[in-house]
Amino acid sequence: MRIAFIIVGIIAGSSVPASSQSLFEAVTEPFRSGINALTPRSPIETQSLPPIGQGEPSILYPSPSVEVIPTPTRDRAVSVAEDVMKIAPATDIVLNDDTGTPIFISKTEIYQALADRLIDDSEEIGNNTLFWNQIDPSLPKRRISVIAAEYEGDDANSQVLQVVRQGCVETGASEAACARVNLRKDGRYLGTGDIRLAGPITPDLMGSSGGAAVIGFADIKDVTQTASIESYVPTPPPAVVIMQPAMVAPAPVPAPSAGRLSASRIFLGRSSYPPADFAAYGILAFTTLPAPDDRDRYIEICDAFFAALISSSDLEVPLNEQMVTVWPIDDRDNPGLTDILNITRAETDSCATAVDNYDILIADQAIRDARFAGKTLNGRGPFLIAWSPGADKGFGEAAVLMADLTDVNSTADAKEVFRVWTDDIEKDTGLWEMGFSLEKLRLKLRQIANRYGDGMLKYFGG
Amino acid sequence: MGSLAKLTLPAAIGIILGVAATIWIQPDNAGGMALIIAVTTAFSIIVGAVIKMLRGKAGS
Repeated sequence: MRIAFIIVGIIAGSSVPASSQSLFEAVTEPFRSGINALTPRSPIETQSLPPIGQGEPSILYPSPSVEVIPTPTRDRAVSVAEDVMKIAPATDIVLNDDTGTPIFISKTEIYQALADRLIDDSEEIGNNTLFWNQIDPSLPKRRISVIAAEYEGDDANSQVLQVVRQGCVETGASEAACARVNLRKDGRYLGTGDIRLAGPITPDLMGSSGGAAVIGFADIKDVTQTASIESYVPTPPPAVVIMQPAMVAPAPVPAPSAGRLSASRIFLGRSSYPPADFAAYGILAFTTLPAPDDRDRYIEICDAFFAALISSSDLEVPLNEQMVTVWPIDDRDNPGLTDILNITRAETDSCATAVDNYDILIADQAIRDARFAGKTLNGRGPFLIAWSPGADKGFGEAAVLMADLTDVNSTADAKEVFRVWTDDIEKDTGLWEMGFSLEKLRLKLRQIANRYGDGMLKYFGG
Repeated sequence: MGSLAKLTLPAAIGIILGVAATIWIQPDNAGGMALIIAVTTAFSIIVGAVIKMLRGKAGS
């Protein structure tokens, strides 16, 4: 019988080393260096399980040498102990709340965190839960960010889906309704994240596990960094590309003393988002896909995007000194599309192609992240959104640079907005939050005059 | 006629402000220019009326 080991943890961001040292480097260092100063615990018996989705749940299987805190200090954790599906195996590995206490997560909570829809009195509503403490106030205020790693051919995605559906049923929803539940595709669940366990993480950590799926609720930045550790080997991209907005956070914007950033543009496919090599990035986020009656406006804005911003490949500045503005492209059906679009000047059908393949999922996520950062985005858009530092995307304390193109109706208007956007990018990021400038006021007044002036003249018979 | 004449100065100032604002804002169409001048003129007239009212109160 296949043995499944599931380890889940919630990364508390504050416990992650602030330096560039990855979580796993921090975690595995004691093992790799042979320190093993952790107090040896009695090996915990591994248990064989029915596959997830069958029989009684899936319990956690801490590895023999992983430090386990057997008695959770949180009342809540104790109360759901019978329903515990997974456990954070060590205080400094996959965690824990800010105090280092392991956190137990029930299937219901997994469902609430990862389902693409929530069943409420036979009504299906979209799941926009972003933080763990929205599910249960006792959980940490951390963004839901889940990754699943595979080992020896197990389909981690389907296992997670089964758990989610089980959690759905446990809330009292009908099985038929729960069967329609899928995993979120808005960036909260990141699938297998392009990493696969080539073997146990380390013999010490997973020695007798025998393999199977490992699911980590993890800070993706750190997990990604661990891909370079010997225990992980990169695999070809998965057949189903999962949006990974938080997968690789760009490096923080350099301090002002490090020099100015140069603004550039790029058309980026879903699997490449967010751009990793740039100092920072912004996104042109439309609120909806184009419809026949407003498609021309989308194309005009795209024309301005081409004209006002320089292609990142044309810019004679290293990528790590560029702040790139992304036009997200859904290239799942046409992987080479972005190569065609990333050219110096727009060709006849460039913008039609870019508009028709606009990736609304990434845009929607960016808009939501900006709203969580306290920005008001009420217009029809599109919006230009950037974070400083980029790694803080989606967090309330991040400085957000934003421009609203709601009143833009022509290529000329859009070019003006992009020009101001470029100026803002290229100035000190510390000034981003200042928000007001005479130039922005002039631009806004111009947009208003252009938008309502003609209507007023017509009203008076002009 | 007398009350209309009292509007002349604020209106003239408003129009001048409107022209200046038009030069600064550079609207793309005539409607935008007309809107700017109309708004500044109305604003100037209102401000003039308020000033006149305050002076009247101060005088009484």
